[in-house]
Amino acid sequence: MHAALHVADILFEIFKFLSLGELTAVARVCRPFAGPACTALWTNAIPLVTLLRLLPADLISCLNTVRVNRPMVSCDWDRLLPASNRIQHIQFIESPISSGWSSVFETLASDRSQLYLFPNLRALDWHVKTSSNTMGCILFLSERMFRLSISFPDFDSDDRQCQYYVSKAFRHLEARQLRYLSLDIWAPPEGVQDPMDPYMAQGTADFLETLPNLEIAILARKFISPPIVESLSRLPSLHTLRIKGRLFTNSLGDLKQLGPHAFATLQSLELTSTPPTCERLMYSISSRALSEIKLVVHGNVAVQVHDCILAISATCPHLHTLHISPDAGYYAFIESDQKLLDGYHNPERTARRIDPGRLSTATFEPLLQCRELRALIVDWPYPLKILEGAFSRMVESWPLLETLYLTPSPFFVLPERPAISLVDLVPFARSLCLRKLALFIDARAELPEQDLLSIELDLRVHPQPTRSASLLAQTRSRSQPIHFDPGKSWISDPVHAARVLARLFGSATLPRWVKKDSLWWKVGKLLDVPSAKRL
Amino acid sequence: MVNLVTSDNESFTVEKAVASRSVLIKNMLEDVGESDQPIPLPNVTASVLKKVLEYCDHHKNEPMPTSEDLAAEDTRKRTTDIGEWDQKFIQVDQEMLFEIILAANYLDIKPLLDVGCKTVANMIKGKTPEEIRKLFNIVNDFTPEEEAQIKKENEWAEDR
Repeated sequence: MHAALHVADILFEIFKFLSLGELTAVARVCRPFAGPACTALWTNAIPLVTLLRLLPADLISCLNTVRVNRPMVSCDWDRLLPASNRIQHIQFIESPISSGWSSVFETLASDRSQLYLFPNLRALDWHVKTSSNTMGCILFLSERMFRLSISFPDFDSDDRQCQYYVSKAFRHLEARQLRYLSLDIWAPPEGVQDPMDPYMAQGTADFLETLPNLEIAILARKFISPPIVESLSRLPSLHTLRIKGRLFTNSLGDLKQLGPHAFATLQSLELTSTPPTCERLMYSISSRALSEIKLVVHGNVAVQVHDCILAISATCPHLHTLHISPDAGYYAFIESDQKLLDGYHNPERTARRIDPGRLSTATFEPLLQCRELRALIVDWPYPLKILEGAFSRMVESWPLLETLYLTPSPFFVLPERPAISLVDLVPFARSLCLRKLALFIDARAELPEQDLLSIELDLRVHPQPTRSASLLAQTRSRSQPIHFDPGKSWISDPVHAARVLARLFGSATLPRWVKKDSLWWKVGKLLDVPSAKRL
Repeated sequence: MVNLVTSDNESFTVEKAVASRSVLIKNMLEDVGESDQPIPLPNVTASVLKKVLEYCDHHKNEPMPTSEDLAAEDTRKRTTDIGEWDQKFIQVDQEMLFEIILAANYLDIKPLLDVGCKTVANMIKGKTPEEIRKLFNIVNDFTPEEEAQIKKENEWAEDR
């Protein structure tokens, strides 16, 4: 037996990759294994139905239906209570075919000998499909819990019973140590404008106010209403806010002007909304530390997206990452619209139709003032319009840029050739930190030798962009290859493309997913060969 | 460049970016500042360090896991998937595998520790206690009563 297998820390590191069943086998191997295996067993996410096995078999039967066979008596806890201190993470996922859970929760609540059923519980995942089961989670809360994730059944504003249960659950939730909260709804129907009942919204808002340590909040759009946004904006530790699903047009409704310290600690924001709603929210955020934004845009007007970018750049001086994409409905719209346009066989009409929805590098021009930008990811259905000199301005303005992803695989391929060719990538050769470049380009053009020479001359004439000392300190040396994702880029000669990429970046790699034996796959193979042999 | 000296007194000169994959060495370098002094690694032999440095060199360009990544990992479902290169790298005999794990733990190289531990976990999966003992040459030091007691305590989790 190797010495490593006597070190409890290492055994625990190994055992955390095993399932509950495998851990029970490992615990019986030898004495050194037993302790770490049991610790790993209890730190795993334990399904509630599994825990019920610690109760007498004649009390609760768990087949397709969960059934309580008799009233609970004190000695029924004998096996569960010794284990209860060790349980750290419980998971309840209500199966659509199971029933009878509410009677189980009532039974467990009926004869409780300690204040907290699981005093050391740190995480609870509660996914219910029946509104009455929402209340069950209250039974399991502990004062040490830091992570709570609840998925409610979908409910509409007329569902008084569900609202009663959810409101009651929130009124009883006491989890001041909570750092992570996820409130989700099962399968919210798209397009239905059905925000939360005001009474419930106030209950949720009041609950949020009791969480001074909350750092991460992930909320379904149903939970976004003015009182809830106001509560969120006042949380002193909130650094991440994710809103799942497209915001209703009236989600922010009559939201009053938030205070000067609204969202003061926010660092990361993810939301799906129309650009004006996003713009409104952005201008109400006071945090100067907001550095990561993922915006799923509902609406296809490039001008509005530009205004939204303007708001982001004005309010996030330390922006690191911006990820922007349209919502799924936009793709469905384009698909049906494309069929309509195919009927016209008129390229001009097609261009006119899609033009308002096409983004260009000008859309992102306001971001040039965000000098700390490291990643710009634009996943748009149409190829981006690239204005002259745009890449040079990006490289000069964003010295820390690591990732530039500008729709390499447009969903709607226009008949016109991609706006940029390989030679337009020259400015990126001067970008010290760049690691990933994804663009839709025309790599077909045959570059004569003198053009290749001009690339090198250009690089010599224009050295690295100057940077402030503090920014320079954060950069890494450019010994790393550029990962180039060509997406659906046009190509005719892989040797030529590999040659230009190698000249520009020294070393480059292509994504592994590129179709085998395709021309871009051959480029990848050529780039894998050491440069002396390749060229 | 950084100079590392192993327990069997062999010296390795490596790029700072490679050595800094180890949080232990990275912290040492930050503490002492720019210095030509060799860094002693009394718990690692040359043959193991060579292997560890091979891993660090291959992964030198990848971002270091942040404390947030590590915290998120605690609650995320853990998989035993291992990348293609890492799988080939870790195809070593059992003795070397455990030596790499010990070294990764000592040098604080979390991704390497995970690769080693996942490999061992994959070896354990689907085996009975007796098969695991045979695999790792372990003597069963439980009394039959103790073993029965542990089985009884954990039977709620069996077949899960």
